[in-house]
Amino acid sequence: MKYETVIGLEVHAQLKTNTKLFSTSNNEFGDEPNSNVSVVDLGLPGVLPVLNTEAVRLAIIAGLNTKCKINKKSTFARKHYFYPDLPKGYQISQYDEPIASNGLLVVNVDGNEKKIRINRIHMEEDAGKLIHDLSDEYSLVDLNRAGVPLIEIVTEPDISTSEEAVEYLKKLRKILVFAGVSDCDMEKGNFRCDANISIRPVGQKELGVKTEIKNVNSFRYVQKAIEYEITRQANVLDKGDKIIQETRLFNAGTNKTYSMRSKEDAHDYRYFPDPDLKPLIIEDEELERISSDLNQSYEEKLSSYISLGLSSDDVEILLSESILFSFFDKSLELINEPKLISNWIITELIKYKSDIKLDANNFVELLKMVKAGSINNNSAKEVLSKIVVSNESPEKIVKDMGLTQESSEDFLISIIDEVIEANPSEYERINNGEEKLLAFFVGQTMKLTKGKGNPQIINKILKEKFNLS
Amino acid sequence: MPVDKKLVEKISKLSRLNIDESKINDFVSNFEEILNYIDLLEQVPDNSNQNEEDLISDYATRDDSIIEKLSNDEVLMNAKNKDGKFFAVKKVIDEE
Repeated sequence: MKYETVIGLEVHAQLKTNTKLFSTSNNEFGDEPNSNVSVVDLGLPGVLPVLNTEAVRLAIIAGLNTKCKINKKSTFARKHYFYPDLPKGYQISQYDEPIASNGLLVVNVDGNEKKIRINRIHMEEDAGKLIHDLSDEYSLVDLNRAGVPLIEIVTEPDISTSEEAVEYLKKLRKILVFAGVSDCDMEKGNFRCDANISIRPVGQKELGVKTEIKNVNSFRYVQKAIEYEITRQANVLDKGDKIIQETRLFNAGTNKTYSMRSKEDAHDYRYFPDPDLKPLIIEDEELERISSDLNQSYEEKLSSYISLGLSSDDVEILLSESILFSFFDKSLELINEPKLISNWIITELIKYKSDIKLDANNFVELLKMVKAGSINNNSAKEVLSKIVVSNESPEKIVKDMGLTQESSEDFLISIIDEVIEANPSEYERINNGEEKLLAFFVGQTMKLTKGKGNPQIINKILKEKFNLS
Repeated sequence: MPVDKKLVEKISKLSRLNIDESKINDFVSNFEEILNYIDLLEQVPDNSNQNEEDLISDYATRDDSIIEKLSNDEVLMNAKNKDGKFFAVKKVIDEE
């Protein structure tokens, strides 16, 4: 039988705040275990959650950038479950009154436009992390992540293929990164996806029974997981069996999904409004202020970069990380060389993105030296590797390392004369038409200048000397 | 909401509480009493003319700055079992 696929996606994106959603501890990945934990995260008796205003602002920005309605009133609810990653015994989430709803995201797949409606965006806190493989006897708990602010973005079941799902995720990620809402670093788990998948005979109106694939953390895995699940469900139905509504996990080693046996009643979360938190009211003035502070949309930014003469591939890379495009913008204010800046950012600076202390001023000083020919490309890369962590003046580093490129013609002519004198037979051969010896002379000259000679100028002088075109 | 034995059993299971079979009927009446109190509250007349939004406008929020966190020793102070910097709990493999 022929089936069609119906997919809805739920994305958890970690908000880029300094502190957690309801506590004052640091929202930082990769710190020592249990070092970013407060009494609120521990769920100690008598403590109260206090909402982080920046998390609310970022959730609103996410909503505005996905054409959602921002709800004047939203409420926080307790979602109960017992698991050691959650000391309180419940997760604070939003349930029937989310902060934003009824959005839209348009994606392009093979030249076709597809509109994907967003049902809702709600705020919630993350749970801690359990580590099962460090000890034979115990599972180990790290609560640094407990209470970290998330938004969950839920689509309507408007997605029909794995390609559309991946395009939606890619576009959503770009929008959130560009708006400064989230770093969406999939390796750090701050952009995670659950997929609800069902199939139904073509023409049937009612939705089929769905399965949910949890916590897939790469675009490629999302595609593979969906494709596997579509085939699996079709095989079940073809055999005349029934799909069981269940949660499944994707195994990246086998490219298959596996049933995650869940205990009876496990999904009875007993939601109710959190009595510790009053309903959240977004005043009109506040919403207006946030809206008016909004930067360009992702698409506007994209076309503004293209109009600077950058290739769309380069622009995609620049816009994939906030540190990259903010560096580009700051540099462009200092020197009007979009291509030069972009090339150095996406080929060199990108290597250091996790640890950049360099500011745009010193970066642009370096580019100016490259452009003026006072330093060659390889030396410039070496200088960059130093100043990127120290933010020292590139000029100082160039001087300290003795990397200044020698561009003085008089000086280079005198060196070239030395080279010719030392190599009389090669000099005779090149004068008799053996043009390929030019490279030999360039090489010898570079050697005598200890690599600091400007190769373009050396080339020019030699060509003039040997009457080569 | 009608409270019966089945409901009490379900809630005790969800709450990971073992309620002795002989006590279940006591809990049925306890639960009923509590719910009746709540119903009573609902009957209290609301004389305020303010709408809900005005009542909750003074929301306690905080700026996004780091003020407080505990040392690892303090975090683990009350832990029944620990392993290095971690809490150690009975091995669990099922998610959620």
